[in-house]
Amino acid sequence: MEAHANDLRSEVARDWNTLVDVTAAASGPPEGATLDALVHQVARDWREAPLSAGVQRLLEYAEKVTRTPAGCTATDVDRLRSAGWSDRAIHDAVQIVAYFNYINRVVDALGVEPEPDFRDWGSGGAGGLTSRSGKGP
Amino acid sequence: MAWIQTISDEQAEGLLKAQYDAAVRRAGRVFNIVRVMSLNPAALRDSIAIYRTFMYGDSPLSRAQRELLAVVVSGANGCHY
Repeated sequence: MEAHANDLRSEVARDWNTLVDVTAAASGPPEGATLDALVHQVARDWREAPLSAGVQRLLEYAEKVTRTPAGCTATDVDRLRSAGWSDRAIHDAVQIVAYFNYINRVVDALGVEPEPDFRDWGSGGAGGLTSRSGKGP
Repeated sequence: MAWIQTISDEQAEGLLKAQYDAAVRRAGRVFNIVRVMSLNPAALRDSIAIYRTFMYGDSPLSRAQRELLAVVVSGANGCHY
């Protein structure tokens, strides 16, 4: 998770209006410690984060595809459409969810160790700053 | 660094060396998730290619939305990476 929490931090400020309900947002993109706190919150429990309803529906489906893939239904996809997602967006999201399920299993099954300088977002510790600027491997 | 053999930067040749060189250009070094695939350089090449298409290619999903999906899935799997 840490690699992508780092990437998320670098993208959140730029794409802030794609994550939240813009009309309800009191202020602009978070910075510094506020941004850190938001990324910690997402990594620990995204349900507590101030995300838009559409993004929450997408993340709920991501968890369902991950935990109970055989339980997915056409109704689930209809719900995403009702939340405003295009079929292309739904497709892209499911491919990303499937990719991370795949790569997580490669990591766990072959004992891939964490990068030593990745920041530990999920446990709430401050950790050390990543040495990289937020580009994937 | 993993439970299977991996190939060091110095020992890499051919397609694997090209993949390692590209990884260093992108990220400054060869990450462990890249090196763990080093016994099969074609699998490494294709895995990275699809990763980059999904995460950086054209999409109605913003970069932040895509990274959010990655964090939520890895969290649900209890995976550190």
